[in-house]
Amino acid sequence: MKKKFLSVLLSAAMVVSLCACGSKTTAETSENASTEEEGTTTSETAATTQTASTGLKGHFSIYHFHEEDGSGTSKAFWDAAKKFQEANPDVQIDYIFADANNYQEKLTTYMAGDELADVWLTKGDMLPTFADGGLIQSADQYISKDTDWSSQYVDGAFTDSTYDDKQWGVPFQMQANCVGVYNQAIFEECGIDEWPETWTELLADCEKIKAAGYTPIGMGNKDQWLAESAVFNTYAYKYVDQDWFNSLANNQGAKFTDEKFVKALDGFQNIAQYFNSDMNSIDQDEMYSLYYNKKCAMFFNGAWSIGTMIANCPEEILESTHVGLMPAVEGEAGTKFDTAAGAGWNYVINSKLQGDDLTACLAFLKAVTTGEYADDALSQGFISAAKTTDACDMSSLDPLFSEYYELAATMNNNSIFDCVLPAEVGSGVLYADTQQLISNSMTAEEMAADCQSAMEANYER
Amino acid sequence: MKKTKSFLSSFVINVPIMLLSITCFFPVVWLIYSSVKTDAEFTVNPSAFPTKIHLDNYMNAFKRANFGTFTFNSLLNSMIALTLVLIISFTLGYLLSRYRFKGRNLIYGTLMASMMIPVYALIVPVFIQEKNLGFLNTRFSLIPIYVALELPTAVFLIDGYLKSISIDLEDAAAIDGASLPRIMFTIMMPISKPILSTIIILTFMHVWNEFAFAQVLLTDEKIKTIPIGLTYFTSQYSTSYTLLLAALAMATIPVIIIYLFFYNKIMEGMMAGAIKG
Amino acid sequence: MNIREIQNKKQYAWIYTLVLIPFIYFLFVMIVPLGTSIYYSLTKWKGVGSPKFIGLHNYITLIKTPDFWLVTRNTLILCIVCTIGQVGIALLIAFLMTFKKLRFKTFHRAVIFFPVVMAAIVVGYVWRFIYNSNYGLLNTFLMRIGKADWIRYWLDDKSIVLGMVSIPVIWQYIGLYMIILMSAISAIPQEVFECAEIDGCTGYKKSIYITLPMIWDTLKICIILCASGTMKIYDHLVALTNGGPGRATESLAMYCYEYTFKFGNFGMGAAIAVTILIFAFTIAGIIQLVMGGKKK
Repeated sequence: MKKKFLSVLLSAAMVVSLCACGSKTTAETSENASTEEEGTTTSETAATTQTASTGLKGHFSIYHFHEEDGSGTSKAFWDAAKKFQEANPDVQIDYIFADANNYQEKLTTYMAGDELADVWLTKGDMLPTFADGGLIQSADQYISKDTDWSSQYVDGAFTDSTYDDKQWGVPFQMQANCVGVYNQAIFEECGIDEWPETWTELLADCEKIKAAGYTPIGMGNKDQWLAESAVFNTYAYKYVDQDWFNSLANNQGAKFTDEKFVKALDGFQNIAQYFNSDMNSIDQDEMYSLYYNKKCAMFFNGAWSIGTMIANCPEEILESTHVGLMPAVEGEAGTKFDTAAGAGWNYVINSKLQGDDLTACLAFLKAVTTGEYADDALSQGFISAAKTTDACDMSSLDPLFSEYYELAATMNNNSIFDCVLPAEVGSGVLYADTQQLISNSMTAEEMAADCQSAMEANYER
Repeated sequence: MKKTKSFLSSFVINVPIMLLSITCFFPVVWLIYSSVKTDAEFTVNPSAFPTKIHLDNYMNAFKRANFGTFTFNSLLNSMIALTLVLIISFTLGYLLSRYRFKGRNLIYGTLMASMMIPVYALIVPVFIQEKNLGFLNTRFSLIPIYVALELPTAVFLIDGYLKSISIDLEDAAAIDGASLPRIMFTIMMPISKPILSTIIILTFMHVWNEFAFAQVLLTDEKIKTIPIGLTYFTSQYSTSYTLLLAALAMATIPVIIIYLFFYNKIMEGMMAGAIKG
Repeated sequence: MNIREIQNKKQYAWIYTLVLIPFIYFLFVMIVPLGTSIYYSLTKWKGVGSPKFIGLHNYITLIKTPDFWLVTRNTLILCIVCTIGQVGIALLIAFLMTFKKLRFKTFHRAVIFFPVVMAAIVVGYVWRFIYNSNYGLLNTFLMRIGKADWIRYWLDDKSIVLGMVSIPVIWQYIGLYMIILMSAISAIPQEVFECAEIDGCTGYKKSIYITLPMIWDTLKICIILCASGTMKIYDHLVALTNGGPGRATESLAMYCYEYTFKFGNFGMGAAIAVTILIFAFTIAGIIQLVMGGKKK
């Protein structure tokens, strides 16, 4: 008797939870106590009753990874957000924070639970899922209407958030994923006058540095992204180009197993002999530590490392630190200006958001991505996706950062692999295999074949 | 001859354990001295001693991770969950250990199985379940899950412990006319003190440190817990390591206090066995 | 066996009420979500819209993926090594704690538990100092004692890395099983030891013939706890190697996390979780069988 009762109860509970999770109607009709839901449920009534006499009104939630007391883009975000709130006291914003390392986990859970905020940050690899699922609305339709807004972005700011010929997101940064940082003093000590222009020069320089007892190139690939995303990605663009990548991403003929790409892998495996031998067990910070302690002469990493250098590098090392572009490979099409760079993350807008809340939200997004935000970000050591204002004081920038700023202007931006490719390939197979490639436990051909088969499995879905 | 032998055996017993203890002590020392360095110092050499002691790391970490509020929330969660786990697990553990009734094996098996569920399999379903019940993002969202997560281990520990304890005492009390709940809570519970202390330590530690569910189910700053606060030192491209370590040091203190307090309870029973050894 | 008879209907009523109330609650909080997860494992679901039922397709894909087997192998090896290491050493120490010859008992008891409460990130940091090839303690030590040819890139060498990561995990949780076992030892009645000593049973003999059988059930639970805990190992591997080089130290739980949260492939993620459950349950069953038989 008891057993029967139990099983009935159990199955009833199962049915309830199973039905509920699949259907969207329950989510919309049920009264939900959580704050981020309020914004969407009240929007329709708000649109008809409120008058916009005292500026903006509205209520929306934003899910982000900008830490309130943080540095860099986080600080610039909060400065702009606080200023916006002061100017618009009638706009209520619910900030939902998760740190960058745990951001994705919470985002996917929100997506599965149909509890997404009104605005959130996403990388290009999630765009198809959101866009095809009808969860987001294109930001471009609003930005293009406001010429004061649209004119502020730099060229190519929207490349990473373009999917299906629509621009979905609002970019807030323009990051080069690869820049060479080197110690001029060690270079001179080894008889090298200047940063190499070609790959052959780089290899020759590495040989000299190695002979002098230094590690030529620092590499901290424990977390798996550094070698692939911050070094190899740009190196690959010395062989292949943006068109090849677009064709690969959209299944239009290009393959990982194409000769050019395999050659790139091969060349990268070759340069790995100049990395520190514990490249796969130390992380980014330990790699910096090698550099700070004059153990390695240079490293390649994203532009964010410049801010870290300025903050943490010992004075004498910082003085002889300079930046350079990754040299071109002779006989290949790519130039030294070809770099994997872009917005990476973008703000996207929930398709349910409308009325005054939407208007308020758009004004907010404009404030936290353009205008003074751009100046502020720059002073924090980050280049934003928007042009700086005339008020921006370039002379106050740190010398190392100014050096990078000038380099960045010359760069030819190409898509970042792991920001655009589906995660299974971009941050799955590519990461793990690059680690094996540089530790010589996988050949270029094997890696290319492995990546291609993962890519093909993804085309099918 | 006999003396050398006894010296040797005492050497063999003492030295390895001493070495182990020293290695166990080392991380604590490292954590403490690293937490008073500057970030620049730390990244230049993570294992060196600080040149100057920066106690304000603790102040900054305390502020930045909302330690005041989050400690209160964590304590509240831990205390409620702990009380419930103790009462429920003792009841279940006792009954499952002492009695054989229809359905007992099914219940036993289910509890055993649930010990092995990886948390990542539960996060999305639990999130959806709580959402449908309108229970997301409240002060008590986490407690039912914590109780359920900790229950199986506690039940098994009690079950195993009681198996080695004879039933004479209970039989005698039953003859005197004591009811079942009375036997359970006034006679057997005090006897189980050592294992209950162990459960308190384990449960408190797990609940205090639990991250995955707290991260996903809570969004309101007023109700978040300590492990979430520990993520507040990571920006998009950088981490303030020394502040994080200072916060970690502070977050570990309550667990160590609970451990030191309750392990003495275990030892009271233990000592009796050791004296005659 | 210490089992009591159920005497009357009233007792039956008590027992069922007291067992079923918490158990039903437990079913609702743990088993229903688990059921949902098992259902997801039979579907194709990217987190948007309704899951699409595809039968055992996810499991078939999984079985055909070489990475899955590599990761499974890693997890099972870690599980066996860590269980033997953790519970074995903990048992040894718990025995030694009953010996007069052991000095500084209070100190050891307090300190051996410290690593248990340390966050995985701290343990990861500390052990990466030890293993670091430049300034690591281990290599420095090998240099000093003149065994420079033993020096390895401990966490970069595919062939030894799995063993290297298991050491911190074993080390960290010795204290946990030590206190569980000690609380069981403390339940042994004093007379038992006294009688044994009169019969001339002392030292290690006392441990093996008296203490061990008395704590057999708790030992079994420790082993099951430890094995099922290690099957779910995640934090340590992320902190120490992040699964690398390649996937040489990736565990099933990491694989499950990757699919569920990084790739947003909830169906596959759930299928991996279910296989973890199946493996763990099988292991627990084997332990029950092996250890249950030895009982008097």
